[in-house]
Amino acid sequence: MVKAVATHFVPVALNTDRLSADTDAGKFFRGLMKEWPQGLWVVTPEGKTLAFHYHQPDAKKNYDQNQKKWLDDTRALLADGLKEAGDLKPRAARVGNPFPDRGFGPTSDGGARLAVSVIGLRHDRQEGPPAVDSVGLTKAEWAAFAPPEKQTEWTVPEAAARKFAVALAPLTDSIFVPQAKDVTEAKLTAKVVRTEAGQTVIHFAGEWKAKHLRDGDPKFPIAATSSGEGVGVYDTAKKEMVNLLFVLKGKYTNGTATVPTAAVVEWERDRPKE
Amino acid sequence: MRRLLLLSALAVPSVAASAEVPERAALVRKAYIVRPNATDFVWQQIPWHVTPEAALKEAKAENRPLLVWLAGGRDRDGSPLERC
Repeated sequence: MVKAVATHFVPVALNTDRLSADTDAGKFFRGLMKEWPQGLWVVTPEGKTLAFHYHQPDAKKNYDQNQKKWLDDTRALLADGLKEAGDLKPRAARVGNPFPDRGFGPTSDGGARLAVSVIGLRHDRQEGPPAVDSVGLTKAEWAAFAPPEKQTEWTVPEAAARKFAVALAPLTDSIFVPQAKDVTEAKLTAKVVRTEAGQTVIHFAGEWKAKHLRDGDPKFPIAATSSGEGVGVYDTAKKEMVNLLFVLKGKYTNGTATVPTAAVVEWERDRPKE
Repeated sequence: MRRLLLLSALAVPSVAASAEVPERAALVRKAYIVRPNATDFVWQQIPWHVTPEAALKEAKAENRPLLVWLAGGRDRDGSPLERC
């Protein structure tokens, strides 16, 4: 399915809340929203819809059944789109990465974008799809993960620690996800383990608590806690981080249901060679 | 809809890499247990566009249909490829 998408279509993923009403391209995609507010479309460059699909879970079906239906419907959408498109020759798939700084290297402003994945657990095993997100750190916030001059222990400023809030929720829809402003406790401490061969190894320990209201409504409270450890490697010659990895465990309570969670937060200076 | 987890081109660091530091290697092992597996991220292999202009320009240039994924609502930031 991945190959079919990459070689037959021009895939695009857009946030409907950030589509301009003033540009031709923005208007093009906003036009689709007149059919349905969100979903998957196969559409010609002229704006003719060839296929459409929007997944709505069936409350009478369990998670696996709904997941299967969603996959089946998505395959059908692609097949219908291909059929309606007529004689469509496959192309060499374009190579692209929309977020090249996600989890790798510095951002354009000298900060870092840490890659986050979060899962819900059932009997210590992954339950459901993972949520992916990023922790975006400014240059100053990112600098606070490096050892300060002549210090072996320090606390990462709360403003930076709060941004780990997105690692507290296993759900993919952001209305269920605490944000930095929702964090009621964020403590992230760092300690130099040792320095040798031009590298300083840093151990991090963190604890977070957050309270979030879905859609700002007190009738839908969400609480999340998490704690865990991280290891960072710092290049003492270049004075920059080499890599950073956190593993967090927590609990996520939506209403009365509590789910154990696990999250990985990671970043590397150098992208692995293909 | 946002649970459309078959799609995108987000690269994620490999926790298996750079494991030569013992402390990191130990944490990599812990991460391995809870990090989603490669199957969960197959959708990352799709070369998504994330700007309307670039996608439409390419579709017109190749006279090729777009696969459009729209998600959002409630004035949220972010991208369907992560959270929004």
